[in-house]
Amino acid sequence: MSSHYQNVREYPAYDDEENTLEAGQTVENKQKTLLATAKNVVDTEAYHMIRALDKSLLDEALKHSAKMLNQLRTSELSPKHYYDLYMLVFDKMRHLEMFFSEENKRGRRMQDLYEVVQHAGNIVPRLYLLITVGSVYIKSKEAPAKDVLKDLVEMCKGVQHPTRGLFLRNYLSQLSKDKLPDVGSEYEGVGGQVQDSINFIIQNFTETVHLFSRLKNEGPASEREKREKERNELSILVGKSLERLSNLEGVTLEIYRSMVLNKVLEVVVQSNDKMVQQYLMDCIIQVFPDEFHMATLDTFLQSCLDLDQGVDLRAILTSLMDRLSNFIQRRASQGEQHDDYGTNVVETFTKYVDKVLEVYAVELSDNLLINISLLSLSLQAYPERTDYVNRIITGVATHLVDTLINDDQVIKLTKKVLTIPLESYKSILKLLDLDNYNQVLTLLPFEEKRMVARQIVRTAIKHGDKITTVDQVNELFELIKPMLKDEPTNETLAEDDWEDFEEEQNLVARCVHLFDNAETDNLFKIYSAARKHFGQGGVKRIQFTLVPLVFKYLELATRIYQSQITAAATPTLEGEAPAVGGVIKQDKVFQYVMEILEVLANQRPGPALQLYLQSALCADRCDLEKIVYELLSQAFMLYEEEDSKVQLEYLHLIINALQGMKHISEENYNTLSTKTCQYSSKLLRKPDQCRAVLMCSHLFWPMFENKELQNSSKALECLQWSLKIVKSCLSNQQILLFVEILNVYAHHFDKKNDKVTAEYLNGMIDLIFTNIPNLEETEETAAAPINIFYRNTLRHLRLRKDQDGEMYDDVRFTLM
Amino acid sequence: MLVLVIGDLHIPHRTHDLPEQFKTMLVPGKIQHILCTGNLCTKEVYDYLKTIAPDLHVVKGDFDEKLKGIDTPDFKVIQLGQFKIGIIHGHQVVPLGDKESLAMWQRKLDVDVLVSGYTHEHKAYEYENKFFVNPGSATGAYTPLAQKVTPTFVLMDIQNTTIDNYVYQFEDNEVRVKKKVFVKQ
Repeated sequence: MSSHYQNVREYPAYDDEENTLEAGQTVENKQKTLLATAKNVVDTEAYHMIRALDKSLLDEALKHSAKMLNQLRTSELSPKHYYDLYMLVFDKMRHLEMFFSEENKRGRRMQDLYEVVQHAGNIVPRLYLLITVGSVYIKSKEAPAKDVLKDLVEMCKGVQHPTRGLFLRNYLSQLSKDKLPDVGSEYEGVGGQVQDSINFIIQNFTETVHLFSRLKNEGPASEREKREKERNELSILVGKSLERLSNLEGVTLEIYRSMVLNKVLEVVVQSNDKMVQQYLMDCIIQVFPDEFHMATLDTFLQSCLDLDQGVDLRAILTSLMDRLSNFIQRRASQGEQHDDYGTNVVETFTKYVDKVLEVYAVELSDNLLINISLLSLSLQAYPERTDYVNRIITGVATHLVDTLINDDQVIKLTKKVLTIPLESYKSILKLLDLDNYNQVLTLLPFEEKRMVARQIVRTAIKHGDKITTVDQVNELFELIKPMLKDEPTNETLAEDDWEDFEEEQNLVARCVHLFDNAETDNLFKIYSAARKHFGQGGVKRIQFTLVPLVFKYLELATRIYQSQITAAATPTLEGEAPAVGGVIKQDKVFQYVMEILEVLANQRPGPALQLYLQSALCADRCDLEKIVYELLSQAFMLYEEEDSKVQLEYLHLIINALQGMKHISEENYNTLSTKTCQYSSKLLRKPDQCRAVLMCSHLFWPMFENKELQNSSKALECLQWSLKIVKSCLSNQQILLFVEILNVYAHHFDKKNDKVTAEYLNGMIDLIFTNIPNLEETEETAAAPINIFYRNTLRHLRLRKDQDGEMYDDVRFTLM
Repeated sequence: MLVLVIGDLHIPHRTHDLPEQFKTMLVPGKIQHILCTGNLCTKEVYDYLKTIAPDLHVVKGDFDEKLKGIDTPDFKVIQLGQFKIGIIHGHQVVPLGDKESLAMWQRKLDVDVLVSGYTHEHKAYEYENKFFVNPGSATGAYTPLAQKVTPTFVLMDIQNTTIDNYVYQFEDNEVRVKKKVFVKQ
């Protein structure tokens, strides 16, 4: 095989024209005209070439192809337009390649053809033709692939003009890509080894990078910016070689480490071209497998430090870290073992990130972006290593501390630094272990702080985190302070924000139920700590936050009481001290409850009234009679101040609470039940009075919880009293009330109230009967539901009679 | 027809959330109607139920004063298939949770089924050929009336004149289901 190194330097074909400083538009137009002319020639010559090929006139075809390829000798076209022209020529050249391939099948020796095409006059057409024949030559296997490739890549040195050289080498790369000796390829063995392909690709890559870098300095300085833009568009041409390398089967991790990466990095670093470096470092990250990066992290990162000033190291670092994060996540989701990465990725990255942040003037936002990626990576790779997260957040805190955060981007990123661990951890308790988390959080503006705080609380609720110590409560509440307290700048709350605020306070309220501890004393301390914090939240917050605390205290009191009961029932061995519960007793807990309720009563008397009733029931179950009475009397006082519209509803609750008391003394019960009857009779509306008094009958019969308090006479008094009130109601209100009264009479009768006899039932039935003379005819009127109610009541009585016949013997059903 | 009967959640007053196991069961697209006995306490919980089934009927509990703008009457009567169903929270029923008092409400509303809550104790029984259901508290919310509250809710499968009443109980970290059948005569 022979190479023709005479004529190696090609001479620019059209360099007589000076590039004049014309307006951009004119230059662009000129470019278009030039391109159109060149394309025209290509089309014409290609037409003749194809015709000659059809007639198998090789010399003729080669002549026209050389003329066509001559168009690629131009120096006039900008790289962008040159690319356009190149693509057209590339397509046309396929006809020639196909012809060569067929010639070969017909028995023509490719070596001969390889000699023939070297006679082309100019170097550019000659090399395009050589590469075209060369690719068929390799396929024919007349010569080892490695020799042909070596010859071609050497000869391409003959073209040193940046644009022309760049495209020529791209042509070589494209035509050789499926003919490279590789493990398992048909060109392996005699054709060469994968090492030959690596050498070939890296040589072509090296030259390509040189040519590409030189493009930067072509043409006038005034068009530099535009040229850089065009160059950027062409950068894909330099990356191709790396793709070829990564596609080689034979490039194993070992070969990549020993033969590929160092050489590639050397070329990249030595290019001294910012754009090349930026682009190629990213290419390396993207085209090679993640396992390779894992195993060669140090080498890659070390060379990052050698890159030119102005290369965006942030982009390179975050791109690699994010890629490895995803890789580790994928591996983990496939159930592969954690911590087995061959190298500690986080520590390696940390080492270089520290250097980068120390040596370079990294913008704050870039600094944060790097730390965000590092944070994600470390949470992904080593979720248990809180120390890594701690270190990163501490680092961020030191960088932020001198800066006033008012830049939107910095705010957004700082927030992300805080939310990433939050999203990753399945518990907020780990968050509390991070030393400087709160320090970073406090640097954010109020609204942003508040948003992070909400997310913290939501996370805690979602995972049902158990908060078990006073310290944890204090730490957590420090983090979510924006939800618990106003800042001086944020005192007023706009009306339309109220719903939002309410939602937020409900989140805080839910938080209270996460407090937990096996020891009642500890739990009491935790609640008291929370109470202190809530107390600083102001009027608008305590109505939300103190309510759950009341219920928690009630639960706690019950728990203390129950443990005493259990301890008392457990016999102790001789000499053994009896089991002692906590120091805090139930009455102490109720002091706190009453103190909170007093505060709430001032703000929201209605809900406070209900809480007094709930607390009274709880105190009753804890056998704390004095407290029960105190709580109930407080509830009564609030009742008296309530609006008449809601009083009936509160009476229901009061009656039910009284009715449910187990341990109340007769004296106290008398006072309170008498008071309740008075309230009932003093309601504003007559039908309300009637119903309330009717219900009061159940204050005396039946008493499920405390039979001692049963009083059949008082129950009957209430029943009769309600009947009296009906008389002063409007006539159209009366019938329904009569039916209701009948039902309650029946209830007392059924529950064997000795004062309520069958006579009373009969009386009521008579009364209703005379008041509804046309029972059947009122079917379609407003009275219909009452009639149905009445019929249902009678059906009930009949069914009761069928069941307990004897007792119902005296009830007269004759009129029904 | 699947009907969810649920109530007395008391979030955020008495508990922070529904048991996770319930939440994974209560997903959109399975249930046609929801009957809620009240004490949702906040709009968030109302909105949450609405995602499970848009046909949501809620009555007012004693701790629902913050549900402004949401229609929560004291009681409600609806027709589902062949069943006329009444819903009431139950704090108006004196003595609370009493069988006879509830029966009076059933007669007054003239319903086949009376759904009530308030006691935080699940019940499902037939009385005088009417069906009474208390779904209990879906969150197992605290009440001074009971020493221990088990989170429960009810799913009713209504077919013609039959109700298959399933109660879901969350106890010892697992969900148990019990069935009761009611046939209307």
